[in-house]
Amino acid sequence: MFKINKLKAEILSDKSENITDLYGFEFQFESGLNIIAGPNSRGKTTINTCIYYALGMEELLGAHNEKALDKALKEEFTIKPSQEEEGINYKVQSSKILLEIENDNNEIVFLERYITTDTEDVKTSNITVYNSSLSSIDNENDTPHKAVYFVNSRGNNEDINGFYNWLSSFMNLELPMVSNNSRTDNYSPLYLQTIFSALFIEQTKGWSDFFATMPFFGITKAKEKIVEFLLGLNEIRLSTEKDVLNKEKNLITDDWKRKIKAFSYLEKQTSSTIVNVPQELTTDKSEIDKINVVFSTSEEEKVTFSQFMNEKMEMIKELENRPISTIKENREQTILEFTKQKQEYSDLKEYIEKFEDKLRIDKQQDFTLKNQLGIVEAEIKDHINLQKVFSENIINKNGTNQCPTCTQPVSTNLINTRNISIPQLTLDENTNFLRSQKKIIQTSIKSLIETIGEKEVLLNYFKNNLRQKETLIKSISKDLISDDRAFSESEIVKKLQLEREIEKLEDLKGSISDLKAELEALANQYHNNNIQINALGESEVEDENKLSSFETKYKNFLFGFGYESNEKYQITINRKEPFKYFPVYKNHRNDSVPQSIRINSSASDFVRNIWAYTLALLQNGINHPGIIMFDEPGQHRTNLSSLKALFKTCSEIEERQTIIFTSIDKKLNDDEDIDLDLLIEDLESDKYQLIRLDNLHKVIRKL
Amino acid sequence: MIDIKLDQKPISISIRYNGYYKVVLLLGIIKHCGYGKKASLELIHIVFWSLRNDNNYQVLLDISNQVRKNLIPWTFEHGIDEVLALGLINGYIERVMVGQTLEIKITEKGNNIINSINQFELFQDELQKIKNLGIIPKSRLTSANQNWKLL
Repeated sequence: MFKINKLKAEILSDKSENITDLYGFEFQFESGLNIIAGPNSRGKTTINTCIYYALGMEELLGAHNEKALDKALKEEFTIKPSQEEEGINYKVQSSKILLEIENDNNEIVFLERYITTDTEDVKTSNITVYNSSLSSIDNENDTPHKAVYFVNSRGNNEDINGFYNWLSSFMNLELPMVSNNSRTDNYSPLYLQTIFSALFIEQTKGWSDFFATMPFFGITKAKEKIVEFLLGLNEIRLSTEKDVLNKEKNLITDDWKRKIKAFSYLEKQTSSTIVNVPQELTTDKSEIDKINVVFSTSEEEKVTFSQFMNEKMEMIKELENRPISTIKENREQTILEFTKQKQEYSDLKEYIEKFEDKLRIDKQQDFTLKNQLGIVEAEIKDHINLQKVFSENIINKNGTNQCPTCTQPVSTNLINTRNISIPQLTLDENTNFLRSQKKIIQTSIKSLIETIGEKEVLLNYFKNNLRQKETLIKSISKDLISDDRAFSESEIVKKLQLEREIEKLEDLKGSISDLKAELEALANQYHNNNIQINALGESEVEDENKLSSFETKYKNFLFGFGYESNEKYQITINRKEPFKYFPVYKNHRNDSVPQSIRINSSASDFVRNIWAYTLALLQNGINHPGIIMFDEPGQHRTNLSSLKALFKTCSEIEERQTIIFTSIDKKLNDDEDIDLDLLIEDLESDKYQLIRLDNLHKVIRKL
Repeated sequence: MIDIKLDQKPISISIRYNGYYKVVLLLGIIKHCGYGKKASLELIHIVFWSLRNDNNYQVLLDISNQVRKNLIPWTFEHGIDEVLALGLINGYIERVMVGQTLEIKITEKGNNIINSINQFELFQDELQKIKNLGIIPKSRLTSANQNWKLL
């Protein structure tokens, strides 16, 4: 746990006479409820974003680094000396935020993060941590220990120099490992930025859903994980293992489907039909045993493998036993056979042509993809080269790009014209983007090559068949034109072909039993995986106790805030998917189809929901960082009595910190204004800290 | 009223639209293809055009090796004005008049840049291509330019 003690912004302006002539603001915060109130556009949001920024949480505001901040802190600000006078503009030369925080062990540190600087050495993506309080920093005898941590880079949650890693250990929290799809090793820590989306509710997006500002990092079921972590449920450990097992399960199922597809290739190669193939994965061995081959001998009739084999054997035997017949003896039959074979031949030929066309398209696609891959690879190389040109300082990126005579800027990107500018990815972002493109193309090429390979095998088989037919037709036609007394050549060819066919049938038998064995192995793996998943057990009793206490707290808060959309018994915290750990609406107690609380509440009641949920997490969360921040909780025409109840409840949670930013003298709904005096009239005077922003001045002033 | 905010989503743009990338190539072209470390605008444009794809490159390489005597329809390179301006204000190149025409000369500073790029072995694919073209005499380029063939 931690709390904020002090927030300070320091700006050196173009009108500063010397470096001690600073502008900005400084505020003190206490444990318990802190209210920052003021009329519109006096700088509440500025203060709010500064807290996000100092804690490296600006990603929740939808931007990286100083981009999240308002221009008053990085470009220019205005100070009005008095009501009548015009405001004076000041340009920002350099600025930084200082935030003093304190943890459970009464360790006090302050964080320093620059917004703009005039030197290149200081990066806005770094936060410096000083082991000292803000007030004692000027003490010359005692130079505090300082350390620099990075915010926006890979490993900011795990690396020893990563800021979130430092912050979580400062809060005495150990971030759990959770399953993550975008990581090759399946695991990542539950990033601190995602957790803070449950703590800091931002003015606009923040009130639209639970944890609405959470950035995407590929964590599986991230919202559930956050609740599990904050409430300290055992489930987080179990579910991580479960996720990995489930991933394995999917792999097995995919593998199964591939094997099943292999059967259809076998079918095509041998013009047989394989029956009883289980499409879905089964652990029933008899299902696998049932897989069998049948052959269609005519349109209606189907025979089994052994029958078919026997037939072929019989035919050979018959041909062997019979003295070689002369052409005259079966002329009629030969003519019939000739037309039949001819027909089959032309059908097959047509089929092969179509098949080859398709294959050519695939090959063309493969060619195009490989070309594209070449282009993308060259681009990546050039991007890296250019980055190196800058990093080795061969060309200074921030060098001159202004005309020395007329000081007109010269664009360094050639796509923008004077009137249109297109937002572009930076070199670094673009490299990453291209890398992911490369990956996609590579995967496509890989699967395309596989298909092409398979199709080529098939084509080869078809062509062989065609050649066999050719020889047969040739020999039949020879029979037809030669002397009637000669021996029939076609019978000999037929016999040879029959023998070859039998060989192929044996092969088919072998391949099928191989495939069956592989299916069995997969079924075994699947079975073991299932056993492991079940062994993890359902969430334990302990978790249930925590959840029901959380539920009670949440519901008390909710109805205390004047929730009216539904009856108390209709609202529960759901224990299962969907909306796991989130409030749902149930028509009656045993309603099996829970519905989203958002749809079943009025807009203002949904805001009450977020208040209650966030506060219940704050109070019941054993792993909670101990601070929450609401920006403009008076959303969607909530009434004054609800807001009053919210302030009252927050002021009673003394051991943790709540910071509320609220406008005043603004219409709350048709009948009421936000009247600060009314809001705080029920609060005990020592139970809250009020920061009231000036009516005239903006928050930035001379320090 | 609902306050609608539109976020502009940045898109991926080819490195060919990066001014600095082209400055590097420009310096390479002047150094390796120009006579006396000077290059006319025509030469700069045509070498950039040849770097667009392998077909274009082959045409120019053939001219350079005196295998062919004509050009196919070619176009000016986009954004050369900005690239030249960037090179000029950074002092990598300077303008000189040769006879009646303006030519671009590489300065000592520009030469140093291309040397360090070679030393770090950066952009070697492109620079190697430029080196292979070698110095293309002005007269050969002019006569080829007066004689366009479709293929």
